[in-house]
Amino acid sequence: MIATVAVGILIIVGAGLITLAGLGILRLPDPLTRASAVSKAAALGLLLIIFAAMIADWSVRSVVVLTLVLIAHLVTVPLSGFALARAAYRSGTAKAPVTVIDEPADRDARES
Amino acid sequence: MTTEQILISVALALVVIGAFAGIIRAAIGPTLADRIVAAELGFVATVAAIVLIALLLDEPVLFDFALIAVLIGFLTTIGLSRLVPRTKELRTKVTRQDRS
Repeated sequence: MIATVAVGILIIVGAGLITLAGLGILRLPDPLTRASAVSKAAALGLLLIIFAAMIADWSVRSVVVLTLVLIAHLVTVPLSGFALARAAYRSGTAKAPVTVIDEPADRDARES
Repeated sequence: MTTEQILISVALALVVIGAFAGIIRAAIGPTLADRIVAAELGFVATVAAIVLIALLLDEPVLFDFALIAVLIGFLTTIGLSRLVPRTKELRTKVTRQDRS
């Protein structure tokens, strides 16, 4: 009973976080902030769904495979998010006027 | 249907809504980077949907597909982000040796 309640809460919150990532990808102003929405909110949503699956299907095989999924996702999401954000920044058209933080440009201004 | 199956179906509907938002962004997104971000959201939604379907059908074999989908999504995002044309070079850090 407690397990069912926990699974229900975890999957609804996780799926809601993926929906919020979709809302963020529609509403945020430029590719940098959109990449931020995907790599944080959607990653947390998938993590909660995987935890729910572990609780719901509590066997050695499922837990091992789901732990591998979890580790693979948590290791690769920062890498792909960083590569994507760097590519978007280098394309030069990425920044919306409301995005005020520009650390590479600040560093260049400081050093020159 | 049990309560758990109804909850999983609702969660699947929420994931599909998120993926649909990604499809809209991939269609209208002004730059190539927007479309790649939308593809990444699509991959995350796909993995979540596979895990939820595995719970709904009670088929633990489908968790293996989730593992494969995570790794394919990572490789695809890295590969696609190499395709964005660069117009602005990130300046490499000037060391003290270069200055003198």
